[in-house]
Amino acid sequence: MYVSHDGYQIILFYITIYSIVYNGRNTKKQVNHLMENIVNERTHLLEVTEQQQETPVPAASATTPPRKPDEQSLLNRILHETATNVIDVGALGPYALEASAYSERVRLYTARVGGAGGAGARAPRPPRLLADVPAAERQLCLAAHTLSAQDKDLITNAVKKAAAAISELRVEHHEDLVVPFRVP
Amino acid sequence: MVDDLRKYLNHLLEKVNGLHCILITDRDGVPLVRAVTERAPQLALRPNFISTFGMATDQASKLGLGRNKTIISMYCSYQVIQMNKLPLVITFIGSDNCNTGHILSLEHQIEPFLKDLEAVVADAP
Repeated sequence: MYVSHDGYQIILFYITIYSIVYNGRNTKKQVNHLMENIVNERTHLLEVTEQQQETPVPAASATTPPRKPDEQSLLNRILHETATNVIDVGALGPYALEASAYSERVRLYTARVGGAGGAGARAPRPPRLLADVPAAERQLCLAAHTLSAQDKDLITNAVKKAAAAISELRVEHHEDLVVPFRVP
Repeated sequence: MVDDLRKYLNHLLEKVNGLHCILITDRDGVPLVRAVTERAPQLALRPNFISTFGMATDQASKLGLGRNKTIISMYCSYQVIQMNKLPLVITFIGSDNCNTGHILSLEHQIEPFLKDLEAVVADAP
């Protein structure tokens, strides 16, 4: 804009400068605002107010170890767990013990097993269904009183009666054994 | 001790019809005690055959069904049953028509003797 008057010219100059500066601030704010709206790797997942962000670290945490190594160890642990949980049969490859290591280990085991036997290790025995009772208990059993004659008679009579009852059992059939079904 | 255990394993071999051998090894296939008949396939007695089980049981334990205890492999004329008693491995090799359930039931009869053997393997390199 062009105005011939000097005073107007100066005012218009200031207005122009102000508008440029003001617009510049606005654009900067707009750009910042736009940048905040864009989700990127620096965007907070949870919105945290500025006050909370600026809260000073409590004095008690100064004694605790720094966070970085914790995170590193945690990350290493996660990596290790993931690696152990992955089933990768192809990466296993054939595994064979070296001949010298094998023979050395065989020798070691033989010596140790022999040593364990010398130290009085329990010898395995095949399990037995009928085990013999100890001598003291056996003597006690054999020395016990036998059955009284009265009890013996009672048992004998009961068995005789039961045998007689069983021998008298008869099947009396009143109907035909084979019954024809009335199939049309 | 080992002679008695071997005798006991031989006694078990006689009890199960068609069972050819019982091996107690470490996880690399190095034998501690073995009872073998002449019908057992020699290839299956080699440490690189037996040590495969150690890796297989580790991988099978990752399938989300808990720890793998036993792997049964059926072949044309043999069956191989391997039990995870780490650091020990028990391997049974039998004929294809041998009673698998009967072999599996031997686990309880062998188990009491494994504790002494575990101590033998524990500090091995």
